[in-house]
Amino acid sequence: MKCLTKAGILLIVIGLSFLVSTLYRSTSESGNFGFGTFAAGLAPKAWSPEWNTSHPYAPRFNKYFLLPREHRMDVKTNTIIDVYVLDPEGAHLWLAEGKLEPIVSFEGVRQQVVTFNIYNRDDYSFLVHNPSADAAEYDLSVSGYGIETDLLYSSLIITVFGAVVTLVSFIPRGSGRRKQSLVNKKAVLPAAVLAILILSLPTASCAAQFQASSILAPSWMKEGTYVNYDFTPMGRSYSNGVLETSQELTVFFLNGSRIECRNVTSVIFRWECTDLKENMATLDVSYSVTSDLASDNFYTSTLVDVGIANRRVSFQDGTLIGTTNFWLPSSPAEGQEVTLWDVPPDKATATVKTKELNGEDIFTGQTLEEPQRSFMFQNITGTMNGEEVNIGTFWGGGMYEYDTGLYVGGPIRRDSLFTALGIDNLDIPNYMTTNIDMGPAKIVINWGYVLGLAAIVGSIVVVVAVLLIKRRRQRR
Amino acid sequence: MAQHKFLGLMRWELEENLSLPLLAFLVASAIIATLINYTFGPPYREYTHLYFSSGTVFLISSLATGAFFARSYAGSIGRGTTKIMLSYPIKRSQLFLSKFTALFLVISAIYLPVFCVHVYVDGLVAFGLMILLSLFGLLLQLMLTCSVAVGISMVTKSEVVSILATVLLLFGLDSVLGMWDILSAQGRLFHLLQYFGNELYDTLPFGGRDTVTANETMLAVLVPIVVFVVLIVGSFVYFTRFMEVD
Amino acid sequence: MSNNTFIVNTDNVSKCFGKNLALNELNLHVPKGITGFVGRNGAGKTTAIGILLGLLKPTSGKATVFGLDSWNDSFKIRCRLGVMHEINAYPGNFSAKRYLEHVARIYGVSKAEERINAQLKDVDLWDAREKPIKTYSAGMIRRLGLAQALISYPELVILDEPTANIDPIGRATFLGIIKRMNKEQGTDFLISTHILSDLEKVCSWLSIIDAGKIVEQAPIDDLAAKYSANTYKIVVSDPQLLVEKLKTAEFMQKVWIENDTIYCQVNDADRFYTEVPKIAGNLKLQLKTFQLMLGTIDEIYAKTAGGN
Repeated sequence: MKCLTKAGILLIVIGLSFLVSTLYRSTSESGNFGFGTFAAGLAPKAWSPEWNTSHPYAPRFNKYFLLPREHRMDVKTNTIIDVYVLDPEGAHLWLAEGKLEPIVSFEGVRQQVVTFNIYNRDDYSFLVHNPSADAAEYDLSVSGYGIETDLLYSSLIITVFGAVVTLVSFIPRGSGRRKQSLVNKKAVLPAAVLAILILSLPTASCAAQFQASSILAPSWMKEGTYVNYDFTPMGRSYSNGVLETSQELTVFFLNGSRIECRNVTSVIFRWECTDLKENMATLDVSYSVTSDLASDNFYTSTLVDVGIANRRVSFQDGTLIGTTNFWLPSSPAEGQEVTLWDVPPDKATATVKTKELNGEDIFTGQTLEEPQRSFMFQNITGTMNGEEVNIGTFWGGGMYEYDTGLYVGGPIRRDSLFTALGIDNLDIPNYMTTNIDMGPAKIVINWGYVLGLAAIVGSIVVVVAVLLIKRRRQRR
Repeated sequence: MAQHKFLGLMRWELEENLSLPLLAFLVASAIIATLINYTFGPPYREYTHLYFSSGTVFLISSLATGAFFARSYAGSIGRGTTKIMLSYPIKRSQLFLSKFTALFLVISAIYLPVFCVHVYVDGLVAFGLMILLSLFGLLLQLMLTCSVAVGISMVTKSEVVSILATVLLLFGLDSVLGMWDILSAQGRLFHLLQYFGNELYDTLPFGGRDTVTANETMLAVLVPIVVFVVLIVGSFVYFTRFMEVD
Repeated sequence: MSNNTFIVNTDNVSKCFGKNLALNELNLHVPKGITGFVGRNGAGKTTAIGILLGLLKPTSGKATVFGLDSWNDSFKIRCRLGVMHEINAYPGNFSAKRYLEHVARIYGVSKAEERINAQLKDVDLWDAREKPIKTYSAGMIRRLGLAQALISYPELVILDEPTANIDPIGRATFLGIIKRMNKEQGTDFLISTHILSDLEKVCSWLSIIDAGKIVEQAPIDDLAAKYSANTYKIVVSDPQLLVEKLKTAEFMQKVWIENDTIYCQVNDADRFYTEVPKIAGNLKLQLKTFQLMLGTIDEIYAKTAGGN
């Protein structure tokens, strides 16, 4: 095979390798960053950052290294804002001279998702302006999608160039070369077939496929089912260099009042199913604070009706309180939508997350004696009590046992069961106890370690076996 | 004359064991290994991207290096090519070294520059110290892999067994040790970046992890070098002085 | 012949592979010329060749080629050797021409291109010179083996089963090349083969190995004389008349006529030589031919190694 043909084939291979990698990379998001306002928000008519360099604290742009892909910006704000995307030159112009030369402008955006394309890998900055007369609170989150165009174009150029070089190498330069070119054609044919096969491969997709959980009504709900959550304060502090535990508790109520409890020894939030009908469970919900000081003991309880399928909580007189998230649908699929709040006209939903970043199942052992496979929720959207919700509304969200969907720990805020008791919020529980069967504990096996060990042993066994076999053959 | 013959032997080795299909495979594996293990994390020009992207590169480069070296050493013995070559006026030392040099140079010449694609893709500083440290970490891993493959090849003299044993051993070690351990491939890179990043730039590239001492970094670098030297020297002595070819 | 006249000497060389004694105090001597090295499968021929090439180290004893130690001075020996192994594992993706170019470079052959082309034509691989070796037949690979063994005009060429898998015409060509190289270039050959008839045509010395030991080695004529079947050929004017008389002779073992020629096997050669002319003279017969028939290599081999 001629050198030129070999070079051409090699270039084709390089180009196709880049192409395959580029297509694979396109299946994941990049960036995933966000920023927003703190405290008072952005003042009316103000810019973030300001361009006035005479300011004692010279403003700086946060730079974000963006890839040449399509980007989505999720804008959440209480008013309207203008968002400008600046390249490095534009950022410099703004800071130095106050000149605005964005590569992309979004003016008058409210609550919406906008898209923009980046064409070069570089640092980009975001300039926000509040054109309104009110202070603007905003939260922007950006992520990149799709194919990185520079890698795509590079791979295609290299592939095409390689194909041209290969074809040029076939140009006969005399009758004596005919036989050789025939031999080369045979060699190129498999390469061409390979190229066609690779190019025709469908783009890898990592889109989550999920089935909606068919279990909406928990099968574990029976008369007598209960769950206790321990909220005993475990605060620690140093006093004069000595570690002390704080046993004080402040309970905040929805009516604005609060109580202070000292020398608290136990704080239990409990619900128990006292009656179960076809689609409704009656729960006895209670909150008790036990203290060494009799005067600081506290107890409150109430009966509520909870829709088994929709988890709507109402007082016994039928007054609707809201949705409880003390349990969610069990055995959800990754990405499955769950309803966190469903009180018309408001509805808030989230998607389920069952895997950690490294692809492993989420496990929790913090509130249970043994680790159980769990899930969380993310990507919260919708409204609750007339207001937009986000992850902050739920303090990040709790952890739910996978097989039962039961809340087992982590932040849970402003749940309807708390509201039923008139309590504003509670801290994160230390642990929970229940008479619900959560199934066998998940045995957490570090498969990487196990397989690695097996591989090492395997390699030693293989080498020793070969040596023994050879020795035996020699003896024969 | 001797140099001419050595270069001729290197050329022979490349023509025999790195023909176009195999070379194409090597190049494709390097590119795919480098690019598919992306780190679409925080959108900053961070050198930690090199670390998190290196896992697949280390794995695939180890597989490829182990396979090619095992094929060259054990495979040649098993196929009978070594017997034929040692019937020519070729010194055993020349044969051993020409094989090693040819393969190591080509594999390094492919993997190291391809890894440098990260400079562009992650927006890093070309020829910056951190990039050079990453390349050094990759080079150490290649050295370790090839020495293990050659050592096992001398023992088993069987191509398939050598490839299998090399791959299992290296994969197993990295899996058992974990990605932060001083003796694993990625752990070695972590120590290099963390130590020099702290010493020279006064910042911890891996902010969430502890600082790394000079001794630990030295250990991370010396262990593969020592293993490389021991295995290669041992294999060389065995090949030139004791190995029988029948 | 003293050891100094031999280009290859093994002095009580033994080689063990584990418990397997492949060579048992081998004393192989190979003089200048074309030497045949014969033995049954597993006799130790390939092991002996491996020791001579420095591929194997003797367990005990010493082997020398050109007076140089075969293990310690292997490189110097191989500079003067050409070798064709029984199993030729040439790189399949090389063409014959490319392979010979590499070999020529290793040997430092001057005017390599000319030499390569001549060799390829000599072994009838010229048309296939650009094809990859993996497409070659067994016979073509053998021919390539001969070409690469001879490319550097070596002093000694060791051929292990050179004519296996080659058709009769090809074998004749092979042997012709060997004889020509020996005659024109003075190249010595050590040929290990099972095809004994080929050795008869070219060899001047025969070494027979069995169970790791040399059972016989000498110039081929001497061996033929030693191991002949003591068969005599007599041509007379009236064979029938003489046969009647010879049948009753005490020194005669067996006598028969084929195509008017008398063949007899005797048990007393001296008496045979003195009595037969007298008997023919008494019968007034004309004695035209009266000679000993020499044994073939087959007979030599059968009587030394083959019968064990």
